[in-house]
Amino acid sequence: MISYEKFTLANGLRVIVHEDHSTPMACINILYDVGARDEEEERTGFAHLFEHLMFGGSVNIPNYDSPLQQVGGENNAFTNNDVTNYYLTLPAENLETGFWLESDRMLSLAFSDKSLEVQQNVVVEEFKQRYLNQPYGDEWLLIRPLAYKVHPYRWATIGKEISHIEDAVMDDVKDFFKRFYHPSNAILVVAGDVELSKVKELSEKWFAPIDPGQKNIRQLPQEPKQTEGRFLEVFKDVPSDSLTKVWHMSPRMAKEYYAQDLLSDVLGRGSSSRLHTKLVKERQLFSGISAYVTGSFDAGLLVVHGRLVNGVALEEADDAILEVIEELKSKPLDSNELQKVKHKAESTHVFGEMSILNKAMNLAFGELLGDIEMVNTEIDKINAVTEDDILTQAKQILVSTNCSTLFYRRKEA
Amino acid sequence: MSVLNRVIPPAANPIRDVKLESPNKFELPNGIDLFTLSAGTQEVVKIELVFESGSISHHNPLVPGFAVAILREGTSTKNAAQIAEAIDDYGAYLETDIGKDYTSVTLVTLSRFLPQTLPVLIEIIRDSAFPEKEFEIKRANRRQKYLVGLEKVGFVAGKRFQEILFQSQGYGAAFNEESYNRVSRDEVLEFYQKHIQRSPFKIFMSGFLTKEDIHLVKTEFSALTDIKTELDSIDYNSVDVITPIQELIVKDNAMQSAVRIGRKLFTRNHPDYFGMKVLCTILGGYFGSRLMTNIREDKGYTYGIGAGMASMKQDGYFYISTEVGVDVCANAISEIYKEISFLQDSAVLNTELELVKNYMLGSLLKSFEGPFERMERFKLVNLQGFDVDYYLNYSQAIREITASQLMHLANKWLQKDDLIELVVGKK
Repeated sequence: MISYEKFTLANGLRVIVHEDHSTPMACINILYDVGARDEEEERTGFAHLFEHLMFGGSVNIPNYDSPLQQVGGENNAFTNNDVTNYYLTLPAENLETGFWLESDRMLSLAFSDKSLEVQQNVVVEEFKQRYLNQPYGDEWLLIRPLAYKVHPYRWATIGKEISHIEDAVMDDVKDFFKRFYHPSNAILVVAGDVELSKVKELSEKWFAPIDPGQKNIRQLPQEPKQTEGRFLEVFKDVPSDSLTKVWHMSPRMAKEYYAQDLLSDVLGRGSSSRLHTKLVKERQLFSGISAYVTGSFDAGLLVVHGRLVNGVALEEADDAILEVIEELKSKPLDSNELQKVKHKAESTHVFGEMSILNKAMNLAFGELLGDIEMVNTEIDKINAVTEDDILTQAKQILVSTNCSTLFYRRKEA
Repeated sequence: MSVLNRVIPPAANPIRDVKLESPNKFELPNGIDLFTLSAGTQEVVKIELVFESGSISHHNPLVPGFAVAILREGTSTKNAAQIAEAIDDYGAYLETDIGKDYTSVTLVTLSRFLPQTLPVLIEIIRDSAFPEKEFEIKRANRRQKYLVGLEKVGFVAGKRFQEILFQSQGYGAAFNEESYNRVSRDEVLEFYQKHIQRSPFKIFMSGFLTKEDIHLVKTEFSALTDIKTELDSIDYNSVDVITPIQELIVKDNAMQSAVRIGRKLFTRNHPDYFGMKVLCTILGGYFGSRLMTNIREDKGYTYGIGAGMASMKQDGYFYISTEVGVDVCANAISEIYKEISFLQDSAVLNTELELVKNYMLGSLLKSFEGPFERMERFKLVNLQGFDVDYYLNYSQAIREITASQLMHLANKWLQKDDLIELVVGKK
């Protein structure tokens, strides 16, 4: 159970407070309702590049990091296809420094040319380090545009290509800030050794004076139903073949989401899952295989990803996955299978509540998704899923016309 | 109403010292030490068993890793799938880990399932069967993972750097694809029998613990009556003389080069240890460090660069690590040496030193959040022969160190002529 209080400032900024006095630390988490899905097709990777620029100095504070480190704090941020999330932790007695820093960069950035230029280079190096200079690093850069033809989930957060990052100019940065970075597009969570009254006072002092801005109205083209199976094959300089299959599934807040999530767990979570037991252990076709859901806000993907044992044909491995899926669809689950994946989901949830920062992020995501109470009701929803629900979802989504397959082949030397 | 001044930072408060509590210690009749630490609100339990032998305990450094990884792949009464199920059925986690000095097996579970999952933990360390088939699967999969690793400049550099540091012995024991082919099931089994099955270990138990939880753990582990009393000694030959070298491993298709610069240093017992921690932090231990500020935030050569110290039981080393664009690799390296020279030639300014001290103290405070983390901190130093006072001494040392002491350390330990420089990729 996470207890919390919520209030909204006159400028629209939503503030959530979670008191946890078992720690001497406090954290501030600010979630901005903007992600890679909000980018234009010709300027992908921008939300993430922008996240880097948020550390390049704000209108009154030339350097974001130093004053925070000076009071014993540290910070980071991440961008995904849906959101951009900034967080800092610091000794609770220095909480106000966090308010000062975060409010100033919500007020306005310094918009320094030098910062833009340097961060473009840094992000290009990040692109290389994580996606291009790694074996299999570009798998998701290939799968997204295969599975999504219309929705902006068709590009990855890092962007479609390096040139999009290199081509960004300061006007883009300013427009982006104006459109997405203001109180009515953000959620502030303060957690740890803090008092509600103090957080209220600090929020009024530092955030209330900021102009509310215009709430961004998101109108994204939703992905039409896929009607035939898709296939892509690439040849790369890697030590062994890799296979990915994805099926379209429901948005994060759809009622069938939990059944789909548990379906992926039955298939491929952990070493007692069906795919692992049958294809890694019994048939030794894969050196590792797993299934999971992307969990994105808009309609996401159920993913099966495996790396092949050398000498096994991709076609055979693909058929073997389909056999496991057909078997799942045609027979009732094993007696303890459903309970097993529910226990795992529960323990993941409980372990996820062991740090103030995780709790703060969960609260922010819940609020943005429109149901903050989900932090406390999610377990019940998972436990309410029946075996029938899972089989219904399996039959509905795990069909060939809804599937995209990537064969990532080892190039023969 | 006064106008809000956003230029002046709010008043800062000094950072508290970490509040340290020693875990409770129980000596079980069979000589096993059980440490317990109860905190937090989530009803979870973590039990970590640590054995004092690691990858340096065998002439083929892969053997210990295989032994611990196969523990969970079959016992005399359960096959691999049954063991996985016995844990997964309760949403628990069973992890094995191999370090240079230690082997550990960890159970993390919701408290209410401790009675069901604890016996599995005990069964795999006491009665592992090492099925031939599971061994071969593990061999094939690990070898494949290794081959994937060889495609990553960072992996190749990390491995080769340790080999250079320790002349391919002990902490830097060399291995290659052939080492995977050579590992035999008999060797692995023998390692298990000699170093795990009836060997003494320490139990680190943390979470939101009830009396019943602790009682159960005491009872179950006390029932192991045939624990050996003597540890098998581990021969460790420290490499005294190091030859600083420059080495380039060319990878033609690399877009980035991995760079490692460093040298052998010392263990946590060394009088310069804490001072070097502070120096490393200034150089490359946090986001505002000199290397990050120069090489990432000013030049944009890299996504990240860091400096730090690795501290094993009997040795340690200093390292700088980064991956940089191949076209700027040479520049990046010369900037690294420039930053080291600055530390040797001019005293750190008071503002920077204060900042780093506060950052380190805050970071230390944060690393004690929650029962698992607190036990982790304790375990780390307990295994190397310290108690929780270590952290008091550490924060004391951080508060007291001066700029001139740091300059002295930079000159004493970071002479360019003593440093190894390794590049994997292109230069």
